[in-house]
Amino acid sequence: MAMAVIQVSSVTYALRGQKILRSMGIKAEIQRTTDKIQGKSCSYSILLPADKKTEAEKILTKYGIRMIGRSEKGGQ
Amino acid sequence: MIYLDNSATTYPKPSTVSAAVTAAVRSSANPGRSGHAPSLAAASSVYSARTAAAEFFGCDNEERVIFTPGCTISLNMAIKGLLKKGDHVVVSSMEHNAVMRPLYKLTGEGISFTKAEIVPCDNDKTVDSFRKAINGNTKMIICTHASNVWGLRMPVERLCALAHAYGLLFVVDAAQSAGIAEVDMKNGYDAVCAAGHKGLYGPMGTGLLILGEGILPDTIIEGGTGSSSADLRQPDILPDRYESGTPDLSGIAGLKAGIEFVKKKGTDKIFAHELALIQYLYSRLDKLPGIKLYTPFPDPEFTLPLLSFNIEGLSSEEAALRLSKAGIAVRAGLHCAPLAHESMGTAETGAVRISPSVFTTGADIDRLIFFIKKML
Repeated sequence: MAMAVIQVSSVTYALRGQKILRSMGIKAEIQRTTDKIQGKSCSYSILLPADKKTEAEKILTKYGIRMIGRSEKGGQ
Repeated sequence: MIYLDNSATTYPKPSTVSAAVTAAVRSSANPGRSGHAPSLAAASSVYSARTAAAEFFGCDNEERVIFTPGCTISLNMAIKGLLKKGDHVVVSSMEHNAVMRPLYKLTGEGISFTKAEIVPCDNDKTVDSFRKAINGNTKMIICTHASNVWGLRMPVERLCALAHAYGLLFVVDAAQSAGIAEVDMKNGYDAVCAAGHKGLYGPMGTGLLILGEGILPDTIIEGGTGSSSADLRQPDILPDRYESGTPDLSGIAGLKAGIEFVKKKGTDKIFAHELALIQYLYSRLDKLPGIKLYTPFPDPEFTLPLLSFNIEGLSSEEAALRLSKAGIAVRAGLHCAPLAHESMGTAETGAVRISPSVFTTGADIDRLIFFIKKML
């Protein structure tokens, strides 16, 4: 299954984002960011189904969760 | 022992607090630093405490809840982070040294302050006193929610409105009130500083700084936050900006349990229980010759539940020592609040302070009265 990876600045942002997304029915998990994206370092990422990426980004933006990078992984 | 020094720190703590602290010590990893399961679990634990505190204080964004090692640190962060050279501050005549010592130090850096006299049980006159102390350079009003010596409750909602009407910041010292009286960020406070180990029943070494929307003090401590590590500048995101270094996970877990305890009991019920004990004590002491009381009968509108007094012919410290020998723990002296004692004329003598908790009983107060009578 293809997953979208949304990188956020801190673990608090990640946990808050996860809580908000889950409350809206979007499965979301947290992991330490494994890719170096946009020159940032030491951050956390929210993993979610790739087909929910656009919707999730809109929600996170609405709730003031600062996103600092995006990528995808997995899938065929 | 009968413990009546709960304004210093509540004791005993609820069993849920001890259990939460122990569990955190046994199982914790460093939150917000790593990606392994124990670290993520620890981060989740801190986050759940943050959301519990945000909800308790009516803060609609948990990122604005900052965990600190205590209310004194919170006040230092707010005062030193928000004031600049040339600024003027208005404080109440009841402030604790946690406010006054940072301000006094800042006078050496071009910051000044004026003390507004509190008029007990007259909020109109108290607010007017603050209004008269404002000048063209005033940047901030700082006020204790309740005197840690006299229990006198300040009209912080009205003082906040006054501050904002003049374009000033308003900082509340909620060290004594959090958990006993409502402290609601929806009143528009720019910063609330609270102790975690008093009315919130958390462990010592815990505190809170809750920031209003758009309030971003300069930092007084910088360091590792587990975020944006390649950037040598302190992050501007909250709460990371103000939480450098490994957090006190066990303390924070205990504080969450304390907040949940208070929430379950109900702040209004805790207040009513403690106030009834203090009103009873007041009415009994008021009849005893040789007892000097300084404040009016405790009115819920103007008082938080604590009472300070003196015994004729005994220093406050001697009275506290005798009570200690009788198995009753109280606090005497100046309570780190010389301004409050100056206001009541007790700067030379101090006073004996009785502060109950939710666990204090009427029998405890009767025992106290029994030993006070023996000292007369």
